Amino acid sequence: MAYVELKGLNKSFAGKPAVRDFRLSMEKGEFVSLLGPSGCGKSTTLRMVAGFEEPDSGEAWLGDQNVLDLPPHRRGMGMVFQSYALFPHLTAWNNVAFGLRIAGRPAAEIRRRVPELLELVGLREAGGQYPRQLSGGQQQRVALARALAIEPRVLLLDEPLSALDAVVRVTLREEIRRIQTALGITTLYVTHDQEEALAISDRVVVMHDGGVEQVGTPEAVYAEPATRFVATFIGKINQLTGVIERAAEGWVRWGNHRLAVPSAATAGLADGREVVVLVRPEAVMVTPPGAEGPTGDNRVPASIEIVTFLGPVTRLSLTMDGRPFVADVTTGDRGRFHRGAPVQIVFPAAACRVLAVDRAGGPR
Amino acid sequence: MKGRAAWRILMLGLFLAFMLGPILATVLFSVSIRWDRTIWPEGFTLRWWQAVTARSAFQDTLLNSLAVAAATVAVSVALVTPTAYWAHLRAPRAKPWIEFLAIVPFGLPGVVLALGLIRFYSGVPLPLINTPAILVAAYVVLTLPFMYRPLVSALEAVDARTLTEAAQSLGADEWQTLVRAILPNILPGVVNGSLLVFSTVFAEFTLANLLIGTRFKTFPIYLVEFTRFDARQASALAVISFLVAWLASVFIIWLVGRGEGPRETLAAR
Amino acid sequence: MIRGRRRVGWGAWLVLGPFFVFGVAFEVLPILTLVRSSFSTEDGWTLANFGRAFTPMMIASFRNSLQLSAVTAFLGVVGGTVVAYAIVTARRRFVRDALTALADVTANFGGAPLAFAFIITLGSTGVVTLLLKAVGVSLYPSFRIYSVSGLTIAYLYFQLPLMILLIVPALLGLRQEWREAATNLGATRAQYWLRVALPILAPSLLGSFLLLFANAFGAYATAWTLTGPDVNLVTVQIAALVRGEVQLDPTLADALALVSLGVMTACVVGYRWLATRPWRATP
Repeated sequence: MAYVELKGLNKSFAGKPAVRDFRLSMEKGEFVSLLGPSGCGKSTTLRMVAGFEEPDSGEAWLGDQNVLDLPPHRRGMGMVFQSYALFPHLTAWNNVAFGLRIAGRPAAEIRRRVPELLELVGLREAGGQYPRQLSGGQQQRVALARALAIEPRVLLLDEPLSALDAVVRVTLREEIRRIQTALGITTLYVTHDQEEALAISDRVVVMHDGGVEQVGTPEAVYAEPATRFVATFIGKINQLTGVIERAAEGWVRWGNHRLAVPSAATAGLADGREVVVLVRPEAVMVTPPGAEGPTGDNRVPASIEIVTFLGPVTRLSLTMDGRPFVADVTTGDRGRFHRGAPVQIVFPAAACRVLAVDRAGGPR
Repeated sequence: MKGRAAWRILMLGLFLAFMLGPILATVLFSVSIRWDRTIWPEGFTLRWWQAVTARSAFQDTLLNSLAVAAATVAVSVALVTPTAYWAHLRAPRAKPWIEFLAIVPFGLPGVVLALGLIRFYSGVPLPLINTPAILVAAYVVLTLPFMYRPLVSALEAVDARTLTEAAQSLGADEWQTLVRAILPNILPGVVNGSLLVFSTVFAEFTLANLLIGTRFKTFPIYLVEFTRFDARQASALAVISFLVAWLASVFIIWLVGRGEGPRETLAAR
Repeated sequence: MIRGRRRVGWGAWLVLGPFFVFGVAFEVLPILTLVRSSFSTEDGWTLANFGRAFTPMMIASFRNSLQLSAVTAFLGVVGGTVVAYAIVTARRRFVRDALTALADVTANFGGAPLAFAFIITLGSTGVVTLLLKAVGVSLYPSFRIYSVSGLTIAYLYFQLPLMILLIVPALLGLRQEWREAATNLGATRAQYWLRVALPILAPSLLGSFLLLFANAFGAYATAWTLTGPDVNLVTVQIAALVRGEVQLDPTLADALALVSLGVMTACVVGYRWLATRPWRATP
C-alpha cells in the first residue's frame, strides 16, 4: 500500500472548480512535485492536505489514517511557506524550537536538537538572529529547519523558492533535495518553475486548470508528454500539425512533406486523422542543404531567420515550409549559422511524439 | 465555528448598543415632553427645540463657533500648507523642527495651553488676551497635528517632488508650482485636514471657556450652561453638536472612500 | 532633490518664517513661561513651588487622574482589542466598513455633549437606569453618574473607538501565514494567541495604552460637564486656578501644569518609540 494516498480531492471557490478529482499515490521517502502555471490548483491541493483548505470531497490517507478527519495542528505535517512565515518576534533558534515547545518536549532535548537542525540547513551560527536580520535564503532555511523539527511524516513545501533570486534558488533547491534524501522524508513540493521540478523530483505531477495532465518521472514527462499542455509547458517544443497518411507505417503528411514517426505512435489511429507531431529543439541536427544521412531520418529544408545566443546553447529560429521551427545547437557550432542561410533539418523518427487532435481542436 | 460567530455578534452588538445608545437617548429626549419616569418617552414635542433656537444667544453662539472654526481653518491652511510643502521638498534640515512643533500639541492638554497663553500674554502689551484672536491662535496650535499630518501624507502620496520638477522644467517658479501644480493635487488632504480642524474646534470647550469664556461665548459653552439650567433644551443643543461632528466625519470617510484622502483619525479630549 | 540648491535659500525661510514665528509665539513661549514660572520665586530658581504644589489635595488630584486614566486606558485597550478583533474577522465587508466608520465618528464625540448624553442615559432618571429598575436591578443610590465611576463609563465612550482605530492596522498586520505556520507546528488557538499573536501585538498594545492614558489624563470638558468641581482631577484643578477661583499663587498652577505636561510628554514619547519597534516592519 502506498504511504500517502490522495483520492478524489475536489475544491471549488464561489462555484468555480479549483481542484478537480485529484488523485495521487506516494511511496515513503518519495519526492513529488506539483507543477503548473498559476491558478492550476497546485497550492490549493497542498493546502487541503495541510488542512488550511477544506475539500468539498475526497480522502487523504497517510498510512492507515484519513488525515482529513484531523484538525490541521494534529496532522504531523511540516510546512514551508513561500513567504517563509518566520515569527518575527523570535530568533531563528526559537523559531526552530517552536514546534518542540508546543509539543512539550523536555528542555534538554530542545537544546540538543535545535543546533543539530540549524547545522543541517547550514546556519549553525545564525541561531541568535532575528528574521529581519537574515537574507531571504537564510530565512527559508530556518523555515525548513523549523518544519523538520517536529519530525513530520510528510513535508509540504508551497513554492518555497519563488521569492528568492535566481542564484539562491538553484543552490537552495539542491540543498532541500539533499536534506530530504538524507532524512528520507516523504515530500510534496509545489512550484511553477519546471526546471526546478525536473531537477529535484522523483516524480512530477503536471497540473492545469484544476486537473492533472500527467504524472511521471521528470524524464518521462519531458520526453513523452501525454498532452499538448505538458509538451508546451515543459521545455520548448516544436509542434507540427499534420494528417496521418499511413498509420501502419507511421507516415504523417505535413505540408508538402511526409514525416516518419514511430509506427507505435500512430498505431490505433485512423488514416486521415489530424495529429500534432512534437519534436524537441535539441533532438534535431542542422546540416547544410542536401547533406546525406540514414534513410529513416526526416529531412526538411529550412532557412534561418534569427540566431539567439543563450549561453551553452544557441537557438536557431527557422522557417520550414513557411512555418516556424526552433532548433538548438551547441554554441561551439554557432559559427556555421547565420541569418538567411538555407539549411536542412534532420531528425530521426524516434525523436517524434505524436498526439491526436480531437474534433474540438485540442489534443486528446 | 458556530460558537465563534455567536461571540462575535454578541461583542459587536454590545459595542453598537454602547455607542449608539446615549446618542439615540439624547435625540429622543430632545423631542419628548417628559421622559424621567417611564422607559419610553411620554409624548413628543418640538417645544424644546423651538425654545432653545429662538433665543438670540443661540444664534450668536452658533455663529461664534462657526466663525472661530472657519477662521482657524483659514489660518491653519494658509500657515501649514506652504510650510509642509517647503519642508517636505526644499528644506529638509528644517523638517525635524517643523515636525517637532507639529507634534507637541498632541501632548498638550487644553488646560495647560490655556494657562501658558494667559501667563505669557498677560505680561505682553499686545491686545490679544480676551479677544477671539487669542482663541483662534490657540486653536491653530491645538489642531496643528490634525492639519499637518494629512498634508504630509498627501504630499507623499502624489509624489510632490516629481510634480515640482516637472512644473519647473516647464518654466513655473516656486509660487506658481505650489499653486498650480501641487495644491490641486493635494486638495483632498487639505480638505481632510480642514474637516478635522473644523469639527475639533467647533466642539472644543476647554480653551474657549478658560481663555475668553465670559466675553465671547461659543456653542459648547452655551451648551454647558444649559446643562445646569434646562436639560431638555440642552439636549437639543447636544444633538446639534453630534450632528456637526457626525457630518464632518461622514465627509472625511466619504473622501477617503473615494480613495483621494489619506486616512487620518483623531479623538477629542 | 532639486539640483542647484546648495543650502536652504533665504526664500525658503521667508515661507517657513510665519510658521516658526507662530509656533514659537503660541506654543513654545507659553510653555517656557510655565517652565520658568514653576522653577522660580522672588528669590530665584527653586523647586519650592513643586513642594508647595503637592498639598494633600493636589496629591489626591494626581492620584485620581492617574487612576482614572489608567483604568479607562486599560479597559479601553482590552475592550477595544476584543471589538477590533471582532470587526476585523467579520465575514462581510459591509459590516467591517460600517463598524470602522462608526469607530471613526464616535472617537470624535467627546466633551460636554457626551457627558450630557450619559446623564440622560444613566442619570437618576435616565433611560437605562429606568430599564434596569424595570427588570429589578436598582443602580441608585449606590451608583451615581456624577462620580468617578460615571466618569469612567463616559471616558470609555471615546477611549474604545480610539483603541479600535489604533489597533485595527496592527491586527491586520498579523499575517495569515504566521497563524498557519503555528497551527502546522502543532499550536492550538490558545497557544497561537499566547505565543505568537500577543507577543507580536505587544508594542502596539502598549503604545495604544500610553496614548489612551494621555488622552484621558488631559481631558477636561467631559469631567467638568459631568462632575464639575466634585471630582478632584488635575485638569479640573488647573482650570480652577486659571479662572482664579482658588486664591493661591500663580506659580502653583504653573507647577501643576508642568507636571501634567511631563506626564503627557512621557506618554507621547513612549507611544512614538513603541511605534517604531522592529518587528512591526514585516519583511
